[in-house]
Amino acid sequence: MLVQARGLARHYALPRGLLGVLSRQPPLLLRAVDGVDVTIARGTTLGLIGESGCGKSTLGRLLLRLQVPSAGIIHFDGMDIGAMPEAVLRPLRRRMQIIFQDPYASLNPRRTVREILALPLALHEGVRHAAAAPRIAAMLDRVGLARAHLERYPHQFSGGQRQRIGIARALILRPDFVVCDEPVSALDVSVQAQVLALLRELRDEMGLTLLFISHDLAVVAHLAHRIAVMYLGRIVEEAPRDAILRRPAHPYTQALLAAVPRLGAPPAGGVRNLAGELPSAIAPPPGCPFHPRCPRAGPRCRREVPKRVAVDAAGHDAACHLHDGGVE
Amino acid sequence: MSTALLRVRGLRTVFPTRRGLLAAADGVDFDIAEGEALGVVGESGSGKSVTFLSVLGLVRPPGRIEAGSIVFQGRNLGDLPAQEMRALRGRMLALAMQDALSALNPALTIGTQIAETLRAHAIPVDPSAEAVRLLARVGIPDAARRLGDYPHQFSGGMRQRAMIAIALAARPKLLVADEPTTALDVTIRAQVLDLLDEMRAEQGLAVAMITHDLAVVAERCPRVMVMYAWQVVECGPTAAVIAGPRHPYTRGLLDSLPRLDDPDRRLHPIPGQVPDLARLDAGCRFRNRCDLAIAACAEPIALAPAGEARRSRCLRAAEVSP
Repeated sequence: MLVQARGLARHYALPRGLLGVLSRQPPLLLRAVDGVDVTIARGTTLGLIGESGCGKSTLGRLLLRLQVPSAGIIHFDGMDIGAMPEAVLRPLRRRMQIIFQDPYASLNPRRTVREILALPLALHEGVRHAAAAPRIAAMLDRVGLARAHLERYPHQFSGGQRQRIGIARALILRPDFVVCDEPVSALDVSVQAQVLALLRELRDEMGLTLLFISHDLAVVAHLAHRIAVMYLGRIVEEAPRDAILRRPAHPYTQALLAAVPRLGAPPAGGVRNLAGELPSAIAPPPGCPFHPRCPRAGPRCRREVPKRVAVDAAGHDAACHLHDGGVE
Repeated sequence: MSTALLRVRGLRTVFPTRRGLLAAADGVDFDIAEGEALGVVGESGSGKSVTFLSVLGLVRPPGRIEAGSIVFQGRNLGDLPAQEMRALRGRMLALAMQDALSALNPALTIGTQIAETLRAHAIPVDPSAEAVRLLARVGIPDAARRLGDYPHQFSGGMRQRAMIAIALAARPKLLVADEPTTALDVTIRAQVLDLLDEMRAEQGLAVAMITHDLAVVAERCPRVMVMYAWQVVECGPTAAVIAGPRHPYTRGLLDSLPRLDDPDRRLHPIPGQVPDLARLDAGCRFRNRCDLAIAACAEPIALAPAGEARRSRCLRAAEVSP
């Protein structure tokens, strides 16, 4: 297991008003990630899907220790990095990288492509100047950009090319683990296909372990070996990809699959649409966070938070009372 | 097509730039019938938004409509004085945009913004009762109480629905929905699309659904028009177009999409890039990326009939789908 987390949580204290401070009220907590277990085997891709605000980006940043967890443990390649001091963590950073959704916002507009790619090499490996040039050139080739692009600035590129620069920057250090946070969501369909194809090739070539975050189920399914579904700070279901697609066990996953528009014939019958919206992560509903929208909720769902239990022996589990003794 | 609600022919909308006059819609022809949903598909910059901004009379100067006719309910919108066009817009032709937060006025309550639309078009109803009805209609819970809320007090999905409520307040005949659901999560998106379907069935509302999401069009729009480099390259019944595209660009789009029913399917991205739009010649604009291109593709190519109720701007339309 390359990446393993148990009981991972990240809570944010919201600013209190003056009245709240004076009356010594405890601050309101936003539970962005609220008790998540994740395991990613080396060389595999875990797809993480969920709607905006469900905590999937925060989870990605926690696993990279770009944020410090409020609770829980994170192991990276057997090392406990959850509470590791930054100085100790630093050499490990080379091995864990991130690719962002918006390559424009994540690339320094004042640096050329050469400088953008040289910086990680200088920081993490002490490779500078002439020594770095062959690595930079090779990486640039690999992501499909031309040498002529080296001296250009991010604004001179199209969205797809910028994402290639973002990928090159993340992979130039030959990391083991890469979090891809909605890497193709901002791209047009035909460019998206180019970038997805590139990511898939590079993953296989370099044996990368990926956490692939997206709200687009078809995109996730194209890359992931396993898929985890997140709802309001928790993972509600996790299984091998085909099990999620063909035999979703959690009512939320079922609703998500039913709501995804498809090119072929729409799925026949069944509950088509979910009423209501994602509840607030500041005041989550008691019991199962999904129960106010769940067509199959019972009294137990309002009382008791469901635990993740195995749905079958093939590594498919879900946090739903339906699979753990019923909802009554 | 029986009677078209909207008929556009030879539309050419130009924008002067430092590099010369750019035609951001170039020879665009299409019809929309009453109660119809037309999907308008293409990538960013393909001309889909400009086409419909032209229909709505919302092209900002120095941009202008240089040629073509836009006939709505038998009237040529190009001949209408600005005053009459204004009256028509909002009343008969409505626009719902992708970004509800910037489309709504942050300083006015949702209720005021709906009432304003009703008053501006002199719709004879009690504005606040009608506002409650409209908000309830688009699925805002507890609508009467939320009337006094400001846009920032609504969630993203609720804002999007409130904007659609405002767009539909005057019971327009045509709604131009420009990426209306792109920013929404799938479950909320399905709710908004259901609402539009109901409006079409109940009120004969026609919808032009501008989107880059072919799957949304496949599910919601019986007819589709595909745009590339500021031209319509293919149009026809959606199911037929998806099952057997007649333009290489449409085929390229379909081959680029990851599919849930076959997640391991190899993606075939369209090679190359959109041509430099300031240096277009008269020939096919897709030919630099096309594996079917021949010498004759350098000549002007018309959007020609290509099977039942279908049109394609390709000389080799019949060979596109094997």
